[in-house]
Amino acid sequence: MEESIEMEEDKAEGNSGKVVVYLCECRGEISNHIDLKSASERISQLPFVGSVRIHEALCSEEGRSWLRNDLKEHSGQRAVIGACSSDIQQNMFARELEEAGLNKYLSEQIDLRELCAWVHPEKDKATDKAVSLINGGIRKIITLEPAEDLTFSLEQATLVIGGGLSGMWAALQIAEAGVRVYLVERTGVLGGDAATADMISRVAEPGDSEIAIPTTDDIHRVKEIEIFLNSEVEEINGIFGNRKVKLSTPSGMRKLSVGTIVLAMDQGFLEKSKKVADMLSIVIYDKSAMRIDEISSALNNRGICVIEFTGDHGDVVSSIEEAKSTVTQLIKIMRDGTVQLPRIIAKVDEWRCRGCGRCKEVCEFGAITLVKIEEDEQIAKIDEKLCEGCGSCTFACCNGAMELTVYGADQMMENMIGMIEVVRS
Amino acid sequence: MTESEFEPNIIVFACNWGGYPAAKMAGKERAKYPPSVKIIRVMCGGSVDMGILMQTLERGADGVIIAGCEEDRCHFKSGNAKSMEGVDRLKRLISILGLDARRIKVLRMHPADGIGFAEKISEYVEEIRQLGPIPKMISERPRTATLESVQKDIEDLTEDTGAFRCVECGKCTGVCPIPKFEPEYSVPRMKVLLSADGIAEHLAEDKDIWLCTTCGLCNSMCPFKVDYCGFIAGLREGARSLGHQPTCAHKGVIHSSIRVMANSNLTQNRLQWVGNDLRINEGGDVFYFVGCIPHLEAVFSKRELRLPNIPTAVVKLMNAAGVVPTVSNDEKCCGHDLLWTGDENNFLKLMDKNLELIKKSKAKKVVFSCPECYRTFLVDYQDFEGDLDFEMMHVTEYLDDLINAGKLNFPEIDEDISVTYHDSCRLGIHLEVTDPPRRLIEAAGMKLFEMENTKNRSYCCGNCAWTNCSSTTMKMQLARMKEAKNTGADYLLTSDPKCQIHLSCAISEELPIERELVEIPIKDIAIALAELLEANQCKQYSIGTEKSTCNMDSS
Repeated sequence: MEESIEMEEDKAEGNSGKVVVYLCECRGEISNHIDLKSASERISQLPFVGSVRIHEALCSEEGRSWLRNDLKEHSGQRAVIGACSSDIQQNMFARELEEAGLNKYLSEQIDLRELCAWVHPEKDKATDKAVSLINGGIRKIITLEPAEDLTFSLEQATLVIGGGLSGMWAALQIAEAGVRVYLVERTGVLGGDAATADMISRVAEPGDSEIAIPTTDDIHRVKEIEIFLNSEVEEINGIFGNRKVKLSTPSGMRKLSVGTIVLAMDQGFLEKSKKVADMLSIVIYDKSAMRIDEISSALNNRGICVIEFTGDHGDVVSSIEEAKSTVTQLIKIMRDGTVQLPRIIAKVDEWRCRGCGRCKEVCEFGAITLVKIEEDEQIAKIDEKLCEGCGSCTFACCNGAMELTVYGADQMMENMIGMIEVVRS
Repeated sequence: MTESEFEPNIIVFACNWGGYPAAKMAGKERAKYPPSVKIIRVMCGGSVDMGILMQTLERGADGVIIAGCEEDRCHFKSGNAKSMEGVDRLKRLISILGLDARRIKVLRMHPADGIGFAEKISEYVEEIRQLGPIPKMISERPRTATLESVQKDIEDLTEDTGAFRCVECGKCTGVCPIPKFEPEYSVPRMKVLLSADGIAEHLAEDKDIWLCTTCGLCNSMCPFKVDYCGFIAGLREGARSLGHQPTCAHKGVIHSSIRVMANSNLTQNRLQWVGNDLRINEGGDVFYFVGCIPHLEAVFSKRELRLPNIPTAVVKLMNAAGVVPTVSNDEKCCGHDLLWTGDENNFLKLMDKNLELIKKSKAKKVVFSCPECYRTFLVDYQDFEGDLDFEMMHVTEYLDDLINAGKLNFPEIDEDISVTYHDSCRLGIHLEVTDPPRRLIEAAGMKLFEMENTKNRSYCCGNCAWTNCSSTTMKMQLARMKEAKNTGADYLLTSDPKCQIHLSCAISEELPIERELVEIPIKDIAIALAELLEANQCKQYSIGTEKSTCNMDSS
């Protein structure tokens, strides 16, 4: 595979325009370990690059305003930002990009901090690597097309699974915010068992006992909370924001429509909750030393979040502190009523698609159906709201008819080529 | 480069939920690892295709890692398990090529285990450091093509292929199979017309030149002997030189492995299919050129095509006739797929290596089981190198000769075995070798029921060089399988492993029509012949059933 760099540059002129590159010093966290000046000189020589700028702290108030103005001058082109790590969903610079007239899908944030500056002590090697990471990002975004986020509207109700202490606490928080709550408990009582009672009794600091530890009275007083005792979740279907839940209750089957779901786990819950976890297709991690919000948050799990009150935290107050941010985020999206998620989903090239169904076979989210379009032809169709963007279908499709947007095979190839070609030169 | 200077270049495809958070955590914890490791974020380990991993190695990474979630903890239920299956097949493929399978690694990461990430990565870097750098397999050649130079090339092409003789009689259009399924398709003759007007400008975006399966029906009908297939191949070379990359099946893994063969001198592992009961030589009069069956088996192992049974059957048949063929571990891909997708540069490297190999073996006759290899040697190699000083033939021609010489005899059989036979385009249309396979079928006692479109009017299996997979060719393939089924025969015999792969693919998954309209077992002719030969020796036979008493399975 020999490609002429000159030839591709011409293509860039015509189609996608030049790329602007921003390098953030991160107040020394990056610039102390990577020679940004030297990197920027080398980056400006790379194909497709229009300009390279360095800023002390892009995430600061001043930095973002600076970025916005600078981008406005380069409106319509593409941007690569070398800074700290980005969370795909909460793209830090998205707003700046959009205000400057750039579609945020035509940008890439490269992690020069966690993935480079902080782990490589040799400055010259870290600088080399920074250049190749940026080049990978540049080549990748050349392949991207502008797009819009997916919008999900949320049913104004939350299902809380588990009526122990954590479930009660979550139900109260959410109901107090004005959202209807369905609280489901397997046993006949709320409040948990002896282990929980023990946890409640272990209060770390004298003043902590003033923090509101929920009681069953509190729950019964709030009319927004509908309680189901001796009940179990049998089935969960539907899409983010509109989950159809079937409960088996003493008075028969009950069907609910909810926007979000909280899996409230108390001490010892882990074994019992496996069935529900499978239903929700989420992964439950044993509590580790570091908090992993990214895994448990509702936004990252399509409206499903997990909170845990376990003895590992030592006491109930610490558990509450830990769970606060998760539930606060959930309350926010419920109040907003809609959620925007990145459009990272599968896409079918209908001409290429042979209707073989290999994609459908591997999709674990039921997002793919085969639709007959002619007497002797069928093709795959994706349900955008069910598709979770895992890309298994793109692997199963031997033909290249199925692609994952933003993180697909083309992007992987270009990203890889960009990194390797800098090393080789 | 001394061992201490070698900094292994490692690319890590880290998933957004497991590997990538772990890498970020390593950063937060300042857990160090070598800077020659570069991380690419992906959504799921299960989305990283074999073709991507293969090309990562081809381009110079000394090692490639998929860093996914832990067992049973995939954010997407079982994405991480799906990628394992592909990784196993790829490891097998690169081992055949002569690369160490350790250059592909799967790591299972807890998202908060930064220290573990750094440790595991560093360990792997050391492992690859011991292994040594991957051979350099990318040829650097500055591309100098411009629209003008490509247009000039196309003018030369019009001369070389005789396309200037076209009188627009339309015979080729009438016989081309593709417009029957894709009415918008612009046949090669139209491309010849357009080329006069400056086709180079739109060449890079032209979809039609890649839809042509180069079956050669147009060539065979043309009263003026225009080489339309060659014209298409030339246009593809032009499109490539203007930066177009054809979309190949399986994310380009097969083409990538062919280029690896062209650009390296690794010790390969191509002979694992050779069973203890087979007699082969390292040199001699008859060279059996096996082709890339082992590689295709590695890629398609999930499909249970049992492709290695083909060379096994060929050698058994030869041995039975008293012939001990040369079978070499140093074969390289004949290069057919590269030549037909416009990569002449790498094709020529393969040609040189293969011709040197044959010369060294002192073979007087080279026998091929793949018509693509056969045509490539007979026509394309001789186009470039002039007349070769050895005879070349397809295995069906060779076996036919052996029967005529009395060296191979098929016993009478009691059973009624009815077959139909698919002439591959290279064998039936390009080279018009159509009688020998039919004589073999008769000699072995099978009853042949011909399809509607046979011999040098056969219908292509719908794919050439892995670029044609589309809804159009799916329709072509289903139509062909309907034809086969309509003969009422028990089996469809093929004499080209590619035809077998492509036709099987079409009917192996979900269908828009009823399965019974198209489903008929597909079997390679050499396997059928070997089974019948052996069957009599075993005195019991049930050809082709899953529990064939004379077991052809070489696995």
